[in-house]
Amino acid sequence: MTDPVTVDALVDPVAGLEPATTTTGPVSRAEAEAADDRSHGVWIDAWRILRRKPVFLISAGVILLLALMAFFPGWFASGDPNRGVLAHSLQGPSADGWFGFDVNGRNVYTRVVYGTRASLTVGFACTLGTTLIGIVLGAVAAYSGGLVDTVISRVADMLLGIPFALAAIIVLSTLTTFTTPNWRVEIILILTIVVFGWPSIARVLRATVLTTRNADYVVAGQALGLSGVRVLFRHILPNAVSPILVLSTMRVGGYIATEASLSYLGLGLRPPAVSWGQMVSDGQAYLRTAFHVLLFPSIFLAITILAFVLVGEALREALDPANRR
Amino acid sequence: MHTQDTTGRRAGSTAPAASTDGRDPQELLSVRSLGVEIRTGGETIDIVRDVSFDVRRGETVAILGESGSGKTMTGHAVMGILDTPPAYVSAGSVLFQGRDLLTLPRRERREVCGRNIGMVFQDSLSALNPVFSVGFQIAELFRKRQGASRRKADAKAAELLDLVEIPNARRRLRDYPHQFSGGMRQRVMIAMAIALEPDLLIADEPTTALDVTIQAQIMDMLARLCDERQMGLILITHDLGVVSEFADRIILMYAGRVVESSSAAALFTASAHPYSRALLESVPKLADQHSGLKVIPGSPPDPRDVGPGCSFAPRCSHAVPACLAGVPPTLQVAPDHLSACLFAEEVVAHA
Amino acid sequence: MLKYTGRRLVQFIPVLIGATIICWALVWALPGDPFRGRCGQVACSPQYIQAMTEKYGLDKPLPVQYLVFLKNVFTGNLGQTFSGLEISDVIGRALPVTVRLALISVAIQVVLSAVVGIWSGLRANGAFDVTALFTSLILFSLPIFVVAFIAQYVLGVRLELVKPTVSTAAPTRELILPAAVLAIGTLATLMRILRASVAEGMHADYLRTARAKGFTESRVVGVHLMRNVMAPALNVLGLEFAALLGGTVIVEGIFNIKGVGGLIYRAIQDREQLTVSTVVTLVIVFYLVINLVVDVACAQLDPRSRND
Repeated sequence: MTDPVTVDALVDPVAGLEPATTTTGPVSRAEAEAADDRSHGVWIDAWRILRRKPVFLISAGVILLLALMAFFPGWFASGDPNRGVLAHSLQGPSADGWFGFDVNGRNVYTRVVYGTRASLTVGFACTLGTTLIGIVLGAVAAYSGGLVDTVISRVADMLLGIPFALAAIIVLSTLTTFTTPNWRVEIILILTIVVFGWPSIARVLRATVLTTRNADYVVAGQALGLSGVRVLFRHILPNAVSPILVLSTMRVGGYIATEASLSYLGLGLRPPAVSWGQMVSDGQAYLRTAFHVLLFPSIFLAITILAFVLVGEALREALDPANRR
Repeated sequence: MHTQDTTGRRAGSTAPAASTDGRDPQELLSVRSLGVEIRTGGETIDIVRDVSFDVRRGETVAILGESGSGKTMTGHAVMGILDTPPAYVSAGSVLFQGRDLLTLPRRERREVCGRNIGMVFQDSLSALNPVFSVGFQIAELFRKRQGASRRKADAKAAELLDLVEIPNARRRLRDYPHQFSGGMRQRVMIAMAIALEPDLLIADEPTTALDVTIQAQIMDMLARLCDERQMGLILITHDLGVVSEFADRIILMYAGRVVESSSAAALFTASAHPYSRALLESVPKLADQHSGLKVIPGSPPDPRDVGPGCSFAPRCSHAVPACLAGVPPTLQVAPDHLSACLFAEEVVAHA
Repeated sequence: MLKYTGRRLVQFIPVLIGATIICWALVWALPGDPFRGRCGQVACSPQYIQAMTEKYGLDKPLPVQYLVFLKNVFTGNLGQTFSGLEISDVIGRALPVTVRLALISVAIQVVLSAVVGIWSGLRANGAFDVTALFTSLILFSLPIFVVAFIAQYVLGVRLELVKPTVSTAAPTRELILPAAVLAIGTLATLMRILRASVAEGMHADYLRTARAKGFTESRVVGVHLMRNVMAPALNVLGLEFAALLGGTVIVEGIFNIKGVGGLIYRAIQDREQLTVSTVVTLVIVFYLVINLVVDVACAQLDPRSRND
């Protein structure tokens, strides 16, 4: 079986090594490039995945369009959302009014466009507030430990125990009356949601800090003399960013739904302010005769919430290490 | 503590062509040219290729290899618990007491599991179901596989825990896996694997996750049980120390293929493959502190692009161009000693 | 297990006290006139103010006020509505309807999400899974009153399959549509947690062990996998109960159901703050108790959560 040629080769090991080096060479170079790619970070990877996802692109586009509507309603609809022509009362969709007219003869399309602002303001303000307070309190709890941690964690438990829609009902029905100005109602609504909403963000952050604080690379960083603040910002917070980003994005939709529900119940914004929940509430009396009054604000509401949920979902997938190659 | 069983050791050889007339009654398992592939999105990767070996009653066969060598997949294929999809058996046969397990109908195949072949997994914490008590998990074998009453099954489960030397067996039946220490949990795994008195046990890295002192206890117990019950044992491991102490035969795998197959003694004294030689040299020796650690340069090939030739060639100090041309044929360097190297005989001679 | 339940109960007491303090403080202890707007659009009569001041001890220090409030809540002395009805009587009449509505709704959720969630988890990333995921996201995005109105309009008004509103006796047959509407919001979350835990569990080592023990696939999946899936699902069901309770306010309002939610809904419309805050406080306490029970049940299902 043994071949004389190979026996010669065995005597001269260099000959045998030749093919070996050439085959391993390119492999290790490719590996090095792959490692280099990875160092560009999670965010570039995530963006690469996201920009190829039509669902993400469409949803993000919808959100952008809604934001424009909220800032510049005049670009999308002409006229005053509160001006009614009684002759048009409850007329269905037509060339004049694409979404028809409500009982006071007000243009439903114009009102839907102007209602965007209330929903987005509440959605974004609540998200910003809960996220900021959640991050600060979560980090403080995890870093101080001891009594501070216990107090923050127990308060968080209590607040989480109270469904915030129900809490908002109590707060708004107690603190507002028919005569409370709309800006105060809005502030009370946002504050209530922030007060009852921060604990879940704080929990995520606290858990991340506690698990990463003892991770080898953090301990190594501390051993190398990095300051606590630097370790927090460079090594610990980045780990918490993606779960919090996903959670927050999904939540924008939830807050918008809460605002609409409360406005629908008559606890939120009132005329002359325009909001989708209030429009649905106004329209319910004409459910049988003029369904369009209720339908269009509902559709806008659903599309807005869906857009945020889908963006959150796409972010979750893109940031999940298990989905990255 | 453990006396190596040499009685059943063949005078002849376990030549690839198995007995054609009347089977040897000592013969338990005969794996022939087994292949396993993983199919992912249009791509097919061969994880195990052309693996053949035999196990006899009371014999301990070690499948030795580094992670990714295909040893675990081989064990899963024999047991019939490959994750399908994506893993499929692509070729070969697994003869158990003369029956080819691979062609058995699903139902009969399932009957073999537990009753004829038992399996011990590596990570007992994840391999035991976390939400059922240990007693339940052992007793359900008797209840569902033998139709025993709950009472009788519980009694048998307690006996088994006694057998694997778990203190307070009866009381611990009600405990859950996470309440046991790693060593105790592995004993539970073993109790479960031998509950239905199988003829063959497959142990996949049974001691890797354990402390060294516990490792020895568990291995001694496994050896004792195999001896008492004349069970065949396939010991899947990467631990040369365990192999040298407990195995009768060694199947050395590299990149999905068997590169050397021999008695345990022969592998350590007269290895016939450059890979096994390099492995033995890489074991640190206390007596020799000056030479430093010898490592095998390079790393195992990516199973996606294994070349046509010997997979070890890129790392082999003996390699020649011919090594990369085609898979080296399996050479018999001594009775019962096979090596898949063109220079097998030279390597033995240099031992 | 008993030890865990005891410990959990001890932990529950501060949360209960904290939650009731928060609710009480929102109603009575915030700065400002506690009677502002409490009597509808007219100012409260001096007699009413005096009666309430006495009843809640509003002239006493705050901690005493809280204890009086607690005593009132636990002795069922909840005060009266504007029309002079005892709130405790009104709740007593409304509760059975809401309990039935909630039970039907939970049943719909559990059955639908179990079927869809488990099926899509077993065949993760298949066509069914992708469709179910997308549908569940859409359902998740629809505010409950939108679903309620669409259901009422399409099924009740247009197709006349059901009565658009529920009659006073609230027969179970009429409660099915409102219960389904109520289920939709929480259904999606439950479905997804089931899908995720089934899909993850399918690759778990313990399932391979169960197969190696020679069990039938129905036992491997039906017993070994399912038991592992139940605890997280039950946990989500408990948490989602908040959405369900909040939803009853809107759904019972829209379908004119005389339950606890409808009581809150009408009290909001009539600006009966006392009724709103009292009933909502009770609902919150109920929610806390439900989650205590769920936690204990989860610990029973998954022993790992009993430690620490």
